[in-house]
Amino acid sequence: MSITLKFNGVDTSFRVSTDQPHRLELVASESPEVSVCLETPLILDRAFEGKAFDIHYLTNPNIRENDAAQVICAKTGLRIGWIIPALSLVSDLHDFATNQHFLKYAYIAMRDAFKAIPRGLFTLDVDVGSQDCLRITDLFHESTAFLVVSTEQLVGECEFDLIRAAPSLIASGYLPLGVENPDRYSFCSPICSDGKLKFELSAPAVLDHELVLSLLSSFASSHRDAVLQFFYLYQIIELLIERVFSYEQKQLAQEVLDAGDDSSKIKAALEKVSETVSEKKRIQLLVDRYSKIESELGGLRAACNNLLDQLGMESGSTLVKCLYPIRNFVFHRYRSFPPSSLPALGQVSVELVSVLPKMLGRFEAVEAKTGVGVHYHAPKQGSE
Amino acid sequence: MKAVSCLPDARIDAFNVLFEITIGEYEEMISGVLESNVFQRKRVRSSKTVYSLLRNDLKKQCVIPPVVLALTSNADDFEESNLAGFQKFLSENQASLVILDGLQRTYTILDLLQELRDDNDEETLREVSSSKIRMEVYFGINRLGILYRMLTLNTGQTPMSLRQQIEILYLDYLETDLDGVELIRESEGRVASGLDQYNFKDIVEGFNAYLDRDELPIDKADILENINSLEKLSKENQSTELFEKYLEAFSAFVRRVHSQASTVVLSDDYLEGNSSPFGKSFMQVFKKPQAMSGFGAAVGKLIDFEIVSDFQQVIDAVGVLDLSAPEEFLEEINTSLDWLKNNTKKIGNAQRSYFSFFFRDLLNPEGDAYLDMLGSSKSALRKYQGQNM
Repeated sequence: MSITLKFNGVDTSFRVSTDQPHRLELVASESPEVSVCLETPLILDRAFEGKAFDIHYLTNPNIRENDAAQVICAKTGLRIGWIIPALSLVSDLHDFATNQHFLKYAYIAMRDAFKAIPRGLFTLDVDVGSQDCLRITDLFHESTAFLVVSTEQLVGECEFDLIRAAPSLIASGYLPLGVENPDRYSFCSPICSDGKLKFELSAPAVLDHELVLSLLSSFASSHRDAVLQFFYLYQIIELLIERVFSYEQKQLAQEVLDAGDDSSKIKAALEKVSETVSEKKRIQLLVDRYSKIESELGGLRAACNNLLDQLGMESGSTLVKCLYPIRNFVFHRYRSFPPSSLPALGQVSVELVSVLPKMLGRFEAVEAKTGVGVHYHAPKQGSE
Repeated sequence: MKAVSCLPDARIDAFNVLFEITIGEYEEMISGVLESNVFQRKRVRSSKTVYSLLRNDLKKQCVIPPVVLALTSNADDFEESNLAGFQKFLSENQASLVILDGLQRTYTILDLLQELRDDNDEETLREVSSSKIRMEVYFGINRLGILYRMLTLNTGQTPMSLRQQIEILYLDYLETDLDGVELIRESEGRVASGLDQYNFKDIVEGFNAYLDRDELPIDKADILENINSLEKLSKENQSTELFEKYLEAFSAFVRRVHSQASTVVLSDDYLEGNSSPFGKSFMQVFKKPQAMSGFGAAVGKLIDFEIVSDFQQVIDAVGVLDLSAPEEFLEEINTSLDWLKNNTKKIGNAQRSYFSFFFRDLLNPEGDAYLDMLGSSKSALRKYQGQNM
């Protein structure tokens, strides 16, 4: 696997060499005498050489040198890897500089970060021609972090998929790095302060994980525009309640079919149909039945009620009664929205980001009568 | 070898003497210099650079631009017209030569000669060895002036960083007794553990910070950086040995602090709450590059603002520094530095900035925390937070 770097103005293919015992080097693929050492003050540990790892590229606009964290599967409690800021790899002043686990993963990060950079991934322009050594932050934006996953740990119920993990990652401040310059991202998510990042995967029933990631990326690049950020996040709620509607409709259609000639059953089913058209009802179903998340919404409710109070509106005890009115106000009455309440709206978004991983992770189509989860197939195009 | 011309350089108070020298003589003269000078920038390695073209051209006896060297050993009073005197002095002091410009060309020449020997190409070897190049040598003891000249020569080309050039220039201080202070190279495998021992690299960083009035490390050299450095350097009084004065001032501070708090260390109680502090003792706090850079930048800025006149004033001030509550200060500064570690993007840069604020307050006779270590440690964190958070 090679990486293309400019060498005295010429695009040159380099490969990572581990031949030197105490340092990693980039060696020109066609001119082995040309090499650049990968500089780090850390004493890396090569104990994991030969083991299998995946590396993912993330960005976090608020990242700090001391923010390395173990990555824990929330489902199993297993540590599957580390998130390592690029800044941590060029300094030995942080708390992890002598942590043996960190140093093993740091070696893998340094080795693999240059091995196979995805096409189009944002990197910095650097010419290695006049340098004997390269720091990882010469090539990668300083907000870059490397998520190093041990594939050996991904067994049983412990699985990892970057796109499905995106809501969890962004709740901790991280976004998958793409082609865009990370400078365009500005969002405030608290970085885990205990050195551990727990992730949940969005449930399969969510289906359109790429869309969720796209909406989260748009949220992240909305430059602290509180309205836009809320808009993008609420689209995820819309996506989920659309799923709720789709499945509820299917269930009710089956009930109508099952009713046969029983007109009262048919009437009851048809009444439910009209109920599920209601967005408020669907939000309630999302919270109560599909994600079962009402007990986790204290912070979000408090932020919503704070904003409602500022807007002179009645507060609510459920998500429907406090989030939905805000949605209506922003979408239909924004002309009357006081600028002084924008920070409060921003706080609603912060809380929404923090609950989305659970909301998406637990999302499951459940049969109303039996409470049993149902495997949900993606609808065919045009069938809904 | 023959000296053919001498021009006095009034700007840096030195003589520039032009020599004609055969490549063979140059090789003999310079090889020892390169071997002993581990701080010379490593060669640019590539078979596709202009230097491989140069190698081929040298075989055809092309004329290359003059290489520029400097003699760092003391020079007696020379006369401009006494070319033979310069020549003799050079012959006797070759070990003190430093290459200011032409390092890569020098490597190319040496590589070529070795290649011809390896290929047993005696005829070409003879021709190349006997062909002549021009060599300029600066004779003078003013290091800062030579540093200035190095920068003007390097600007616009593949540059060495200011720090690399300072390292080259002050290399022989490693062998010199500087009023009891010893500079130690990391490559020697020794640790600067004694009171009057310092890592050479750290001191160079600190002096660099003084010259630049900037505590942040600048490793990557570019044209703009060199031009900025030139402007600052041109304002310095180049008649004094500033490097020695910087070292004397910092060493005076460290000695004074040590004399008052040599046995003070962080308590076990404190360490329970902060198990990896920045420095458990005063020496561990201040004998670090972050403190040295902060000190250099702070003094530079105080001089620029005309609050302090020179390093001597700093030396005099720290001589009367009194540490009234050393234990409390040690805890306070470690707490501040711990906060920086947990709350800043780049810890090293934040620490340097913190120390810059600390020393500015400590050494500012017009400030509220003048010569007050505890007060300066608190105000430094407040100022850092106010400026950065």
